Amino acid sequence: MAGNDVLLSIKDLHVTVEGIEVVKGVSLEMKKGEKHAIMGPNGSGKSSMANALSGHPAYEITSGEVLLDGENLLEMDASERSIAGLFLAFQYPLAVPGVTVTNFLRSAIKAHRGDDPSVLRSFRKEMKEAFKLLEMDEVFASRYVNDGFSGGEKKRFEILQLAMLQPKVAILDETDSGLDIDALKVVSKGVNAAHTDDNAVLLVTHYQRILNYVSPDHVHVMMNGNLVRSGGPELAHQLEEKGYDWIKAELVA
Amino acid sequence: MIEQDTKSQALEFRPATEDEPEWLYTLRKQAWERYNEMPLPDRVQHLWKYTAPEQFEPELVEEVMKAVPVRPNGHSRTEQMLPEGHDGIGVETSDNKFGIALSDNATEKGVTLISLAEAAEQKPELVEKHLGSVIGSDYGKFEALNLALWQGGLLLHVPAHTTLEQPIHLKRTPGSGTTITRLLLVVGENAEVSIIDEYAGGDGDGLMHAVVEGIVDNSARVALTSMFNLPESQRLNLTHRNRIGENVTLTSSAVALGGSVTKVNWSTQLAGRGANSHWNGLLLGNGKQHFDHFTGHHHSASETYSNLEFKVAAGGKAVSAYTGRINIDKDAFFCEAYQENRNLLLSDKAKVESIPELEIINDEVKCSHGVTVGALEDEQIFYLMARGITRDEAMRIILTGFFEKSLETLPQVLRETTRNQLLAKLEV
Ligand SMILES: Nc1ncnc2c1ncn2[C@@H]1O[C@H](COP(=O)(O)OP(=O)(O)O)[C@@H](O)[C@H]1O
Ligand SMILES: [Mg+2]
Repeated sequence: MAGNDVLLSIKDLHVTVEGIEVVKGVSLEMKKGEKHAIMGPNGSGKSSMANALSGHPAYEITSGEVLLDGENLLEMDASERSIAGLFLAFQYPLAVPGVTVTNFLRSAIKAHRGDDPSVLRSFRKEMKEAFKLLEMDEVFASRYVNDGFSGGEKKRFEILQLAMLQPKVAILDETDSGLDIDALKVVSKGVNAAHTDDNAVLLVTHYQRILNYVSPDHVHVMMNGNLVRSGGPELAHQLEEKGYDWIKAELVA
Repeated sequence: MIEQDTKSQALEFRPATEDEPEWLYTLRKQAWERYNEMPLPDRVQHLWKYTAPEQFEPELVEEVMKAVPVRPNGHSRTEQMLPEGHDGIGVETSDNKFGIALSDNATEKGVTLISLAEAAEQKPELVEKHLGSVIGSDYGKFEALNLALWQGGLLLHVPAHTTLEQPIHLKRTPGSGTTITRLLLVVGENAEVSIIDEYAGGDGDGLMHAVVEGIVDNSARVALTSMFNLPESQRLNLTHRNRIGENVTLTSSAVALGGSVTKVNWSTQLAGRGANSHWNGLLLGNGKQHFDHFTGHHHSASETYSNLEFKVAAGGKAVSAYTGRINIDKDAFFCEAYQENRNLLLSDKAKVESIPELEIINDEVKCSHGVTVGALEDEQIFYLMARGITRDEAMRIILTGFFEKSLETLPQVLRETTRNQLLAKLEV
């Protein structure tokens, strides 16, 4: 039954933004329980791919096929993709002034699970636990979403949402960037807690630093809109040592 | 126009009743003459640049004149329940029915809430002194009309050193013709009160002229909430001006949701050293609604502070024109004045205008103003959608967030209902 274990299947994905092709035929498969990392220099198309998969209207998928647990993702809008089990932790989370963290989370949970009284009853408790997991003060519950949050607080809040929504596939876009080592550990703890044998995580990152805390089974290198190399965790270490130029040089050769 | 002027001039201006006090008749008659002398407001002026004044001319001035009792025997009192959480309520309908109730607490403290006609009889010393003192007949044509021909109207007097914990809610409901109403607000020294000034309800495609004169004595603390909830068949022209004394704190809120044409001219004169005025407004328009707001903070005394924030969202084919003026007089030193207007366009066909006007004849000031106009951000909508929230719901959530700070300035008793009114309006 190996086929049923595939949670995310991407075939020959092409993405255009502002009329320019920035993802040029990516194929990738992630199975239940797996953790993958996509690494690549700035501007290689990692965020474009993550945004396109999540249904961002500015990123047009011009061809390719994407299945999430067997469902055609490309027929859905962003909210339907979330309900279907896809989650994106944003590289640059947006502020929503005037909307409290509690109301925001409640709306998201309601969208996923309906507004049965039982859902709303357990919501408070789950939110409390998520705050604890991400070591965030509960005063954040009544703050406005990402409004005046520090870079690190924003990233924690993204992972807090991941922990609460329990998606099938989580894409984390540069969740590690801008974090000090303590925050990185907390965020990694959150990611590891959310990861189970039944879901999959795709870490998108520029640096291999976070991979020390969230160890991936598969590492892919993205350059110029394509996955140019795939391997195991050792690939990340090689990149750490030799830099991206090493692969660039090999590709030219 | 000219035809109408001659016609109304030909009408004999008579005392409202045989025993109308001389001073009142004289005041009204002078105002009537001013109304007839003055041309319609000049469209070149900012105040009327975006709204045609013709639509505020009463169609049949004779009818309006006939409807002027200005004396208590011309109107009737109806039973009025005092709603929970209030220290007073005053409801006035277009057929000159008044429902007024005060809490025992307010009555014991000597608070007066009566119709303006009753007040002219029972509190002549207050009314003669203040009526027309802030908005007189030279203020403008429609203000002169109001002073001459007010039919209903209320007096609220809060004596010095009186504190009321709960708001006093005043509600005016127009009918299908022309309704002219007036509120005289007199707050004594060191008093504290929260007043809700609402224009709501009524059917027919009527026209309402309203004037609010607020006289606030030294060190008083006043919260004043204006609610514009008329049905979308009604036109409203309101001129509201406050004069506040030394160390007064005036906290105003405005909620503009209803009406077909809503023209509001709000201003406050900071006339005593150390006076403070905060104004926070929210406006949500849709359909073919037309809103035209003017706000003015006039600093005529030193060390005065004003702060103003206006949030506007316009959908459908709605129009919002806003002019925000700050005046700081030559001999008013060390003043601070801030003004911010943020506008959201919810459709391609909606229109907003925002005109800051600063007239500062003094160097010793701190002053800033800002205007933004934009649509809802796609990135923000996407962020919420990526959490499973539908597009429509995402837009509603972001919009209520946009208004949240303004909602928080409202008195507790209004917050939930206003939030729900906003949500209901966002559903359509
Ligand atoms: N919203 C956008 N508008 C215009 N260009 C964009 C946008 N997003 C990404 N790009 C362009 O697409 C390319 C890939 O960027 P991105 O996907 O952000 O790379 P990465 O995440 O790997 O750093 C870059 O050239 C970038 O400028
Ligand atoms: Mg990126």
